[in-house]
Amino acid sequence: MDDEKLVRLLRKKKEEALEALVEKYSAYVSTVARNVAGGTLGNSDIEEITADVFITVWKKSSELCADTLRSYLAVIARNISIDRLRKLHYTVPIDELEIDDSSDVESNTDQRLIADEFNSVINEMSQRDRELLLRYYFYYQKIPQIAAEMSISESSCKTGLFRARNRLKEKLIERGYGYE
Amino acid sequence: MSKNLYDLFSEYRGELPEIKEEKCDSERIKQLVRQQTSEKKNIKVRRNPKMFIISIAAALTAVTSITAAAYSDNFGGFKKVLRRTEASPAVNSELPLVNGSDTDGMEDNISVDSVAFTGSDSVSVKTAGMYYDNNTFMLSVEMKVSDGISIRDDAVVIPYFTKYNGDTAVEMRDQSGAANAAKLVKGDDFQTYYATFYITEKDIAGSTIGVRLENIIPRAALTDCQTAIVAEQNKWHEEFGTDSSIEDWKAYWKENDLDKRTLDFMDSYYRDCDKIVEGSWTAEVEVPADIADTSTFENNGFRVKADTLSITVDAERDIPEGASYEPVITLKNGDVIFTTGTKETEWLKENGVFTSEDKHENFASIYSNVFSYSKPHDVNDIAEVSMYIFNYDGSELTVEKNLVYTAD
Repeated sequence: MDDEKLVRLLRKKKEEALEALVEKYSAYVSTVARNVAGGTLGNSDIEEITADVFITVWKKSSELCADTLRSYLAVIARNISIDRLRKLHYTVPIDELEIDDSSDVESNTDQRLIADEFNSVINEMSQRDRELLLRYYFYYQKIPQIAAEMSISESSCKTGLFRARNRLKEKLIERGYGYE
Repeated sequence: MSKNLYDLFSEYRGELPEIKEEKCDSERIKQLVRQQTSEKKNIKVRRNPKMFIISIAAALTAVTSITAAAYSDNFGGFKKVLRRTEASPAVNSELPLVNGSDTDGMEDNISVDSVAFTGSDSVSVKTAGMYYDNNTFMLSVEMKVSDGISIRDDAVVIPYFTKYNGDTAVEMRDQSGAANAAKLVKGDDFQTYYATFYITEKDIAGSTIGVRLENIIPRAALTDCQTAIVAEQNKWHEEFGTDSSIEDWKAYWKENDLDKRTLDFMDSYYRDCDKIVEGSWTAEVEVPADIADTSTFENNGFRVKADTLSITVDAERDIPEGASYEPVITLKNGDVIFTTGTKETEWLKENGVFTSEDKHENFASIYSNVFSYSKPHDVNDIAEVSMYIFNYDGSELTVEKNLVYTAD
């Protein structure tokens, strides 16, 4: 079943569409969850997280869009996995580099602006830089994994990631965000 | 404020690269999904309205380490156990004591006296704390396993509760074995585990609650048991004749007490399934007669509780057997609180009771007859509470609106 049909049926709350969604995307969603967990969670926890992702999508089916279904699943899988790890007091990886902005932490508008700005910066980057950063920071893939999947050496991967991060830093500074 | 790159990338909404997918057990995931969606859908009045049991355990997932000091027999220690034995934000917000509500003056509703269980030597069990009000009983237990026994991360324990009031004994259970079990949460050593059970039951004050914990089993057995029950019930239906009317089948169910047969089947399944630790542990705990009522609002079968952020539907209302119901709460600011994703609320939408455009807030979680908000609501903010009762007699659906509460 293609995504367009899936979304149409999910919006109508057709249970067969939910089953088809699980069938089509459970491997993808559980892979995202497993990457984020980085080996700290067992199979049963990963399965529970994966199931929770589909339940969340089911509840929010009115918000679904066929073009972004896969990304939407990944975002939810990532968020649920991080929440689960934090709840279990496992350390979620943090980067040594942090951006610093002077916005008010309480302001949703400021948060939205930062998010929009960040998406725009990422979209301006080269495809290779973007892929490296997304694999590392979004999917939580490790260097050997990224290297294997992009068919590059680990050293090229490390260098590429280092350069991509510097270019990201420059772009963020240009837009008024400090970088520590 | 500062954000690290991982946080920033959580804001990313664009196209993502393809990644190499690892195999997973999609059938198992489907089972888990089905289990959760059917829990939400089958919100029905119990055949025996006296029997309510709600457990936070079905979704309990936490396996964490807690310092030994946190488990001292005191109020703070009990709260810490509760925080760590919760499962998800939705369930957590439903629990008294752990949802950030003001707990001053709630000491009357809490006991941290340690009650020892008797039973199999393999595990020693004692209470870690109790919370009770007029219709809620929450119990945390500490389980210490003997040397040489190893508990897996997916271990759950099955509880059985009986309420004794004078000569009356009411077994508090339903047919959802999964909902009754609690996951064991690891303490700071390899021998100590904790579990929390949460029950709603009317007239709990002054009663004695008999608690029996039976066997530590893998979580997967719960889902397997549900699947086996469905298959068994389908077999009974086939034996009866699937061509017969729904009414005949319901009458047959009642006459032959298939509720009890289902419970017997479930008990037998759990008795025979693979176990992590085999054993049985029992205790009796007293609930004081003069416990404080923490309800903030009670009217016509609805009880709104700010401390548990929940609304409780009294199943003894005049609801036909087999009917399902959906409460709909309209706030004074026009927001509507209802459940999305159920056939009932879809019907309400299709029939113009509210529309997709209405600003709405979902109930965060639904456990049997307790509907939990995702955030606290002051009773004074509520304009109207309606109960929609859906009765399908096999050929025709009738929907009745009962106005439960309306602001002056």
